[in-house]
Amino acid sequence: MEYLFISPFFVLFAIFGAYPLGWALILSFSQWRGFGPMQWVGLDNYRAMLKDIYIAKALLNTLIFTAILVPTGVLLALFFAVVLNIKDLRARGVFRTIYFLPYITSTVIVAIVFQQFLDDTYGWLNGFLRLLGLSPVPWLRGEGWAKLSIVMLAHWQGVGYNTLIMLGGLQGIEPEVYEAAKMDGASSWQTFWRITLPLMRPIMLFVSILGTIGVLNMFAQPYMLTKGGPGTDTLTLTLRLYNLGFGQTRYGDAAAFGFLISFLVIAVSFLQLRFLRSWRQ
Amino acid sequence: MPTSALKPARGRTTGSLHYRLRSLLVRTLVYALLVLFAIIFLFPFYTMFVGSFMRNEQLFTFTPNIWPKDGFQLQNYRDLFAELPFGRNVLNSLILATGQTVGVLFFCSLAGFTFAKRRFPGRDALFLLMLSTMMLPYQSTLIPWFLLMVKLHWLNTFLPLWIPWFAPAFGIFLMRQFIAASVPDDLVEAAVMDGASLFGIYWRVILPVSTPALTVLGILNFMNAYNDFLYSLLVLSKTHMYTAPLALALFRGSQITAPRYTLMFAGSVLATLPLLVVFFLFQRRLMEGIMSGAIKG
Repeated sequence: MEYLFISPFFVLFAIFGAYPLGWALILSFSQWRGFGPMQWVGLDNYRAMLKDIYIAKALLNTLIFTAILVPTGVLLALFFAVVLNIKDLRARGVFRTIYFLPYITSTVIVAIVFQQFLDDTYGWLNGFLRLLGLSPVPWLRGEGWAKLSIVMLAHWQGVGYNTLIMLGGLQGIEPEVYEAAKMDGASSWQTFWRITLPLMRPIMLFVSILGTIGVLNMFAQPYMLTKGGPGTDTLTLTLRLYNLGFGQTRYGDAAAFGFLISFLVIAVSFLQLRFLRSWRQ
Repeated sequence: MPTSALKPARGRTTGSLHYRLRSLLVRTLVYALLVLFAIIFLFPFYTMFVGSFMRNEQLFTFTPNIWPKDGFQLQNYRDLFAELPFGRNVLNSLILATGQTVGVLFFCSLAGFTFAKRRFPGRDALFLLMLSTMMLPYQSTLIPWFLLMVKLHWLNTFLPLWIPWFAPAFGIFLMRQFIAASVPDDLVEAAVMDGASLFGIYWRVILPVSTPALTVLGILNFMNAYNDFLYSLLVLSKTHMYTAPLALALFRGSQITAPRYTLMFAGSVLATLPLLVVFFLFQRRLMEGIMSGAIKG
């Protein structure tokens, strides 16, 4: 009976996880466009991948996004969490809810609103810049700026969720620790640097692992907001995978590329977990 | 900003004018900052709402959607329904999310209970095996997964968005952790003594006491499924089967056509409303669940 109760996971994984995985492995050594016989090409797909400049660019972009989004995301969330954890803050719950609201909204919808918000001529943001006497910025069409727009969108949507996780961490710190610090005459800043921050390390690392995986999987944001442009400025790994597989139906190449992304995701999460373990001690 | 910044100080500075002024200043700054960010987080919702009642020309002015000058016109909503079966699209999103969530709640709690409260050979190994599959990123199987759906003739049905997702390792893990920690063994043993079947124990003893975890898992899953984009994009290609996000993406424009914001805004309002209702119904439970570390176990 026990085996029956836990079987759904294993059955579903075998059919929709393991079987496609084996298929992907075979595909990655083949050339196939969805019809006709598959042609075995050995390591050709993997070799071609190393020379594909789009993939190189997507990899570089994804790394840049990770390097920007993850640290700033952790710091922003920590900041909001500490402020929203102040005991006698009025309307604490209201602020928490407002900050969390973007997270429940569909990325497609968020991207639609941002697209208009960031419009070159008629967008709110450029209107605001003009008001301040600054020159408008090509938010979606300028190289570099488009990346910044994706970063803003991702933060706007995700920071509330991370803040809640951080808040949970803050509330897990024993009040006695703070009282002891106060008895010793520690100032607020000292308490923050010496107690809160070190005790929050595991949570901060957890949030950064979640964030990294999120960035490595990023698809809907650039697909909707910039279509990967201008040029290849916001092309991400998963967007490239989608274009290869479903835009150009190069199934073999896409399968090989899928493995590259998977390897990357696994390697990065593994590294971060090791880092977490050594940091905890 | 340290947590004690706003608390009245005890000790040497108590009551001094200098301290009170400083505290007042800090307090004002904190509130100003919080309100500023609240505006930043709410403003896009506002522009979306107001923009959905405007004509396109109004949107393209130098002070766009701050207020609809011609009043709240419903023309965009009419146009939207004329061009798309948008009611059906929103309904599709709801069907997709509800169907998937019901399955997830059932299979995850059933397996979670079994892993938490039963002993059987290979239990721990199987649990570890299950957890290790969480490391597998979806990108590696995206292409063959899609080809499998073609083979099964599941395109343009909800089956590809329901069945493969019914027993996620993460959900089973979450339910196991909750049941192991908060359902006493005595409760299960007493039911066994009474001669209840294993499924009877699950149904009558475990399920009722697991509502907090079920709520968090259910809402998170519902939200993710309702907003799903990539997998729906792969398997749904008929307009009447489109979910709301897919339908809205149709208006985003291409190299040659401009995006049609007013229609997208109207659709966005309609697509967001059901989720907002669900969110506010369960908001407290959900937010407390995330804070209590439910999602990280």
